[in-house]
Amino acid sequence: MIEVRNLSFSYGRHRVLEDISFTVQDGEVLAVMGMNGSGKSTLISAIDRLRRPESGDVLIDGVPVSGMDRKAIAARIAYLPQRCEAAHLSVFDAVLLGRKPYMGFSAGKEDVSICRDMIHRMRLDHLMFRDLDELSGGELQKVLLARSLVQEPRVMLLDEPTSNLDPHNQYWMMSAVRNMASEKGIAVLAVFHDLNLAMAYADKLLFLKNGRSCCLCTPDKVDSALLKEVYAVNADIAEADGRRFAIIRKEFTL
Amino acid sequence: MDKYPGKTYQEYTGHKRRVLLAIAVITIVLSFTSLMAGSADISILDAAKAIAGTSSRQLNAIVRNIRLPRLATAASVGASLAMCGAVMQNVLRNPLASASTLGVSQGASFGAAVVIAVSGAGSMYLVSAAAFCGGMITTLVILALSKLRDATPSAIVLSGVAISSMFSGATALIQYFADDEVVASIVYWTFGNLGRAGWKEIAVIASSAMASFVFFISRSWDYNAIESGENTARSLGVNTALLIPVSLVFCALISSVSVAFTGCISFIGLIAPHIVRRFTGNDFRFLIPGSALAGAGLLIAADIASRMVIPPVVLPVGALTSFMGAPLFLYLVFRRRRIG
Ligand SMILES: Nc1ncnc2c1ncn2[C@@H]1O[C@H](COP(=O)(O)OP(=O)(O)OP(=O)(O)O)[C@@H](O)[C@H]1O
Ligand SMILES: [Mg+2]
Repeated sequence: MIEVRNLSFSYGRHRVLEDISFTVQDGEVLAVMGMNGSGKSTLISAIDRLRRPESGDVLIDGVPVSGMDRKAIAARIAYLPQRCEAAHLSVFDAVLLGRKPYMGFSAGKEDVSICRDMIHRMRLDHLMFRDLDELSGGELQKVLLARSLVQEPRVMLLDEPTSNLDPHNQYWMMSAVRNMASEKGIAVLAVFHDLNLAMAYADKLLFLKNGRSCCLCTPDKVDSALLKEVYAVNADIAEADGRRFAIIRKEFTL
Repeated sequence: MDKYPGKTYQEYTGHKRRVLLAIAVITIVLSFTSLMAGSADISILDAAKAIAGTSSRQLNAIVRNIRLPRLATAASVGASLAMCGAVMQNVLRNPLASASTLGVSQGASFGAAVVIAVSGAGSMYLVSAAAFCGGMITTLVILALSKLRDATPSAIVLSGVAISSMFSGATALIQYFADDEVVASIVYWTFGNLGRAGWKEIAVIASSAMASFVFFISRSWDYNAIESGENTARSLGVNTALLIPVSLVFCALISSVSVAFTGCISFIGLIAPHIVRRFTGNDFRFLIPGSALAGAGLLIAADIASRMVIPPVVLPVGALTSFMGAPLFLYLVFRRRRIG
């Protein structure tokens, strides 16, 4: 379980996050939504303490992250960045890095076999010994997700995990994340721009607007008025396959 | 592991181990060649006997007092510079980083030149200590610059170019005002010379190289994590705020000690890691030992060449490494899409 309490953050004088609070239970998926520049990535990195929040705290299973060192944080939080440098390192070695918080000087037999299983589960067998800088955008994203999963975290922070994936892989990957989350009791925070994907897989949605929490609700509470306020678009809500879809209208005043 | 068909991870790393073994074999062959080559022709058998001290007195003296120290200096300095390059390229996130491209070697040379000019090259240890300080100060400047907000990798390399030309200029000024004997001594220094270090100095170079090797190899997974960016490394549990400066201090230590006893030797530190990287990728478990071996091999080869080109003249090895290193480096740059 992760609790975020009154988190605020500024880049210099520019206030980017203002008093954000929410809780994500074990096995739950929270979608973080909002327009470009609304502070989603900043929120994710402040939770992982890659940036030091100005005020507020983050608690994991009741323990404040502010008192932990990097290794202790890494054993609890896995972070998948929005952008990542593709290193000249093989896929297998990159996934093994997820075991870093548990390694002494080197990777043991068990670490290797955990990674091998995850590579198989993520359908990456054929890319195992390819270098990261020779992968497609979507393949790289799957590798990074595999790494986050072998980290065996209590919380996963996924910054646009599906942005480079094709429709098949988007739905397949989110199903895999959901599965893992409920199987291992992991709390998941994921940033999305695809409303329909978020409504299909998230238990709750957090909408940010200019760094403030605008609405925290379940997918069935998402309506036209909310989308108008958050994204400044006119949208209809339709139902099919037993779930809700947002259909954005093309009418724009340019 | 046999649960899945196809190549296993053990087989994959086994290949990289064989690469290391191949580099080691080449370096050993070069070492023996180095013992045999020179104005006195010595067979491999005589060389081995001379090391054990059972050959003729003259051969014993040549091998044990001249060729063996030379070989040991080349091996330990080459390994030091190459490890330093590999680690600097990683922690500064820059494929062009090395002691000589960032001005660390030039800083050390300047330190040495100052002391030579003031005290007249009297004490080797005083000169070496000054070289060490010069190298260390440059490293601290680079470290401070890399912490600035808009320190892009290319800005760091450009600052390195600026710093090294500043030190080279300052060294030239000292030479301009110094008397002939001092100038000769400084020039000798800036060229790089493997024949100056005795066993005591070799012990200092080798033990600092050893200590750094142990540190670097123990942190190899941390360096692997930094390959994907500093923030990714931090999120994986690497304390980069501590690791990066400590790594750079080790780099400054081994490169300054090397420059202090042998003078400026360029390009080995830049090229050796790039050659090894082509075979092992950026996996530091293999890149560190591979670079150390390749660096040793390259410098030994350059030393052999320096003695063989116009015998009995021994060319300055630093001039030779720059001369051979630059084209080799260009080849590496253009052969691969992207280095690093
Ligand atoms: N390193 C930085 N220094 C200064 N300002 C920054 C920095 N990074 C982001 N910002 C600013 O902070 C605000 C929030 O950025 P953030 O990256 O959190 O947005 P985001 O919601 O993730 O956007 P996107 O959907 O485009 O990824 C933006 O206005 C951005 O310009
Ligand atoms: Mg973002």
